[in-house]
Amino acid sequence: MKIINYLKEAFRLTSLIFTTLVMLNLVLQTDALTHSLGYMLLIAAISGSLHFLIEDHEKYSGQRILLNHGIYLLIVCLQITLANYLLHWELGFGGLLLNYVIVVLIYLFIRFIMYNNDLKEADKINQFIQKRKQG
Amino acid sequence: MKTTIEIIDPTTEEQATFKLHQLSPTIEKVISILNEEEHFLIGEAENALYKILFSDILYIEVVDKRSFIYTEKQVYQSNDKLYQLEEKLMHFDFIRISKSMLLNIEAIQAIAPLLSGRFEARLINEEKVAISRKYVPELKKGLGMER
Repeated sequence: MKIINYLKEAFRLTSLIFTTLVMLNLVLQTDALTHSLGYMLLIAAISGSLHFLIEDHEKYSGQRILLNHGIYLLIVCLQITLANYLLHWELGFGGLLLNYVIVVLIYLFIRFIMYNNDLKEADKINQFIQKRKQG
Repeated sequence: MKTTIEIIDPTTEEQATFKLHQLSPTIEKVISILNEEEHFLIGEAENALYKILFSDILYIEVVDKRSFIYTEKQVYQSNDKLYQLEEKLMHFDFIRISKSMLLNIEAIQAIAPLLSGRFEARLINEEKVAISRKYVPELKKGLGMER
């Protein structure tokens, strides 16, 4: 059951990363879409299967979790660099940098949304705790 | 629910009678509290054994396979495993907040999210403990927010 759940999560993340990569390269260079869809899927599948890196196993400190997130982003960026070299995407320094920046921005956007949702959830819980203490 | 309290003679045995349509989790909790004669754990500190009232416990943590009971003034070691302690405390507002920790809901002052994705509980003694994301539904259930 654990393996099935892990694969489900890996598939979900693979789909998310794949869609993002295709959208990104659709804007940057249309040729890449016809030549490199397979590689993009591979990048997405590898990144999806590495989601154990960004999961909270309760073994690590908060700082170590954030470090793991950094390592995960680095792996995604390294794969894009490798694809650029192997598949002759010819993104150039500017194109690669833009790819990295967009990957980081997407990550920060997701974290921002999650943190905001957590703030709202914490607020609801705190209101309930206060009511409980008064009652 | 209509409640009736009758003050009886000190020589007569105390008893509680419930007239119910069906047993609810709240009533089960009340019954378990009434049936439990003593609400304390045994903990060791400085080579002596102490009775620790449930209400004095802030949280219980397992470190290196040993269980530690934290109160405001003292830390005690317990011979029980965490799951055994959890069974003893499950009807007394204690919830699991990570693989290695049980928390007394009454000891929580406030909750705050962390950038790591976890939550943090500030306790009445200003100590902070991390709540794993997957145990947040259990916390809400323990507080009575979710049934």
